[in-house]
Amino acid sequence: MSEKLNLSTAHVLVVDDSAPFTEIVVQLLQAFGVGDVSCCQSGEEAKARCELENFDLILCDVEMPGIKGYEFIQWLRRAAVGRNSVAPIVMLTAHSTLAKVILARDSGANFLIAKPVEPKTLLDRIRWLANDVRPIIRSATYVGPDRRFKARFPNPGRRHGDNVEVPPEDAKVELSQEGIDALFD
Amino acid sequence: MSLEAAVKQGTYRLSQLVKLPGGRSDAELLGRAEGKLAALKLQMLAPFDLALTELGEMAALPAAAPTDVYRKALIISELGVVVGHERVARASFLLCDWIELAAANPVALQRGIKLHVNAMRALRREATMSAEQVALLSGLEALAQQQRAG
Repeated sequence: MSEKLNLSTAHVLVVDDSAPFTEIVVQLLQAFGVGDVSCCQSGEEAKARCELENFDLILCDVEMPGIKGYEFIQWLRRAAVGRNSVAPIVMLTAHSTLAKVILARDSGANFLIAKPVEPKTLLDRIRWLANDVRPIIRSATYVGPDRRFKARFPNPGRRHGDNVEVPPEDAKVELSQEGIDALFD
Repeated sequence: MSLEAAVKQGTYRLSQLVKLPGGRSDAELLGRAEGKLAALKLQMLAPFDLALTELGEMAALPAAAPTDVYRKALIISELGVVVGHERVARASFLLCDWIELAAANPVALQRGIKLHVNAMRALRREATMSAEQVALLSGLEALAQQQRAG
């Protein structure tokens, strides 16, 4: 049986240009007991917000007009803005093609969830993040969770490199949530 | 990959605060979430239908703006699942696919937009799954598959 989860003091940022979808995510977070949820409708707005406040978790859409979600995450991971540069980040996408999943992962996000968001999928990711002990690493080409180690059981430990060339035809393939997790873990 | 620095492990504040007394079990949290989603199902029906109407208006233009159509279709595909119109949601998802895949062919792009939007309207009209609806959705799936392969 899993331990009880207390999110009453968590401050969560939701970044998505779709107001109805944001409402759904906010309702789910409130159902999970999150005490403080802030919302931004663009990457620009989220940048400004992250310079002023610290967040315990950031949920961000991949596809947004203006600054894309992955561009915002890349900026955030490299920016010296409070503890947000090492905040746990879950990206959300309606189109989980292999190319987009890799883009989200390489931007420095911890996980990616395929929309529509299933409550259990979101809750599991929050729990995984709470138990994630991987450090955030900084290199010339990547800032984000250390992907050289698997984070979850049953097979934690050293993993193979993930700098794999993706053939163009494979880049269009839509991945399931399990397929996405396999690329992130 | 050369490392410049490594932040110390277990730095997430989230990891600490979730362990505070007064937490709830997963079963309890998921039960609350399902309750919220059930309430949202009714609440989101109006925005869903409004988005569908707006998409129809966009598609009726001589040259619909693909980016605007894409964004609207994305909203419909997200809301469709919440309000229980999964078939419309799927057709809307395939419309997004079409816009990405047919971007290089403006004529096919515009025709495909109209085709998908008309199909979505037809799928929205009937509450139960008819043989026509199955055929309609299968046709869109086949079209997307062909486009991906081509």
